[in-house]
Amino acid sequence: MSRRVRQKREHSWGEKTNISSETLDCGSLTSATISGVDWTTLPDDTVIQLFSYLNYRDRASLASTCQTFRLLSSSPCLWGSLDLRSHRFDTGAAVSLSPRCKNLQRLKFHAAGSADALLSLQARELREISGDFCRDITDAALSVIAARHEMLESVHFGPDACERISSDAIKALAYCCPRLRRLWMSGVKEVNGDATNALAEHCKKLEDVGFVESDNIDEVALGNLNSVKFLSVAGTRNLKWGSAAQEEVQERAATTVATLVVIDDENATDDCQRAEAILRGDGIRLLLDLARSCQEGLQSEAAKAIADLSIDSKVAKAVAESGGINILANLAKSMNRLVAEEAAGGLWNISFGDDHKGAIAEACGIKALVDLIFKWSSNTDELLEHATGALANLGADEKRSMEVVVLVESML
Amino acid sequence: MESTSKKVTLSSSDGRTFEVEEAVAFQSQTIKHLYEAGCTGDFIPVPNVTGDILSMVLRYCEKHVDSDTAAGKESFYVNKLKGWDALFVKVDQSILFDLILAADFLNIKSLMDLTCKTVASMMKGKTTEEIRGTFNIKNDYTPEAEEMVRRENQWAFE
Repeated sequence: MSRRVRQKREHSWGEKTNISSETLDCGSLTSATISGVDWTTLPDDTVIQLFSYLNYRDRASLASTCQTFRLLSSSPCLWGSLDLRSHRFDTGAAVSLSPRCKNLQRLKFHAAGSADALLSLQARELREISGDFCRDITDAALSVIAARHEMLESVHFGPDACERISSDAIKALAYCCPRLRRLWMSGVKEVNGDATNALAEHCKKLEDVGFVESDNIDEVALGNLNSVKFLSVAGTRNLKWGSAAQEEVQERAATTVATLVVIDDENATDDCQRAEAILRGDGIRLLLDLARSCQEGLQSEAAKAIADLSIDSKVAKAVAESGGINILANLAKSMNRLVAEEAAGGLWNISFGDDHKGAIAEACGIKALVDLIFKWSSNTDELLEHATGALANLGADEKRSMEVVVLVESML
Repeated sequence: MESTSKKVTLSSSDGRTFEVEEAVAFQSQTIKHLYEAGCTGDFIPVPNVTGDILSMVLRYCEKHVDSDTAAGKESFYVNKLKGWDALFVKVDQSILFDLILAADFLNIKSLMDLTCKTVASMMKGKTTEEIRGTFNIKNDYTPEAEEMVRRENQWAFE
């Protein structure tokens, strides 16, 4: 071996971080030189990797075997996030965990009176907390939590209702945690304009807000949250803007899918790859489920998404095979003009292929379409375009053109 | 990859030499960096690894040489490779230990993951006493310290 090579090799050893001098020695140990293996001589980073594959229980058992492993088990890199949902998280546990939580960034916990426990962790670096069952966390407790964890970026309490949290705590969060990006709470008692405005003023990075199942929210102030990209007030009562509900979120999702697929709405040219991605991701079934919902906004957005997707013949086939034609035919009978319009559009796009014309007829789609034309004949262009377009496609088939004629005559 | 048939020669701590394709040897980041830095002569020394272990490691590298290519990502191939891996680490503790050290020194991430996961799976669900027994780990705590450690970790069992 040349001298130069040797130097380089030693240099590369020295560069490796995380390796103690003890490890350097063990690097040259081989089975030939020792009898039996001393696992405590493994390189530090290797032991840490080992720990990372174990759950807390197994980590605890391993850490208890000897001093070397105990030392390594408390390496900060193993304690960046902590999921205590399957463990009891009380003050006692928190106190014993606290020395290891100096760098804790993410914490998930279940159940609590754990407001006190959370404080006892003394995890000043905490960025994200997510709690399952926060019934007992009061305004005062959350305010203290906010004050002690200024780095917080994400707070998620739910799905159980946070009955004892209201505007005061939200305000405290706004004042103490300027880095807040995400705030999601279920069943908050009240979020008044002051609290919302405090969020708007102090948390400039706030992107994602959810006050779901709440009793009382100042919906007007919500408009001041300029940085917010995602907002949910699903299930919240006493909203003046009416029927906001879980459906609203789903509706928005359906809209997103629809716009995702149709890049150029004017010419309704689809991006085939996107359509196929939705096809693969079981998106059609989900959309059809949404279309079956009893909420009309949701019906229309889902129908629109299905209609837009059905421009792609593969999607049209998938929709037909998943019972979508029946669903669309039912929607076409809707008393809601938008729903009927989108459903007619869906039937139109599906009726291009010869394969599905029979199915549309069987689902009473023709009657629904003809009814549509008569019901809405006085006003809407687009609806008529969809319905007549679909009928034109269906009528191209001789057998079914008779059905159309008969129906129209009977209506007249 | 350029000229896959180009060979390099590795030499183990006990002086055995192995001639392998570059692509095989370069799964070791350590060897790749040595080579790219031009720090190699006629052969690349691997002074921390015995010939027996190095030959196993190279067998592993040969098997995994295609795993980054498109063909190698096909599920049929992946499953077959997983089966091969499982057999590969069915070895004595001392060999497993040496493989870990070799993977660490040679910086072969997938082999590191494989061997560490194997050891971790041997620890799963065992009590402290059982782990000590299985891995021949000496209890170096005083009774007081042991009690303290027990309290420190009690939360994990609740």
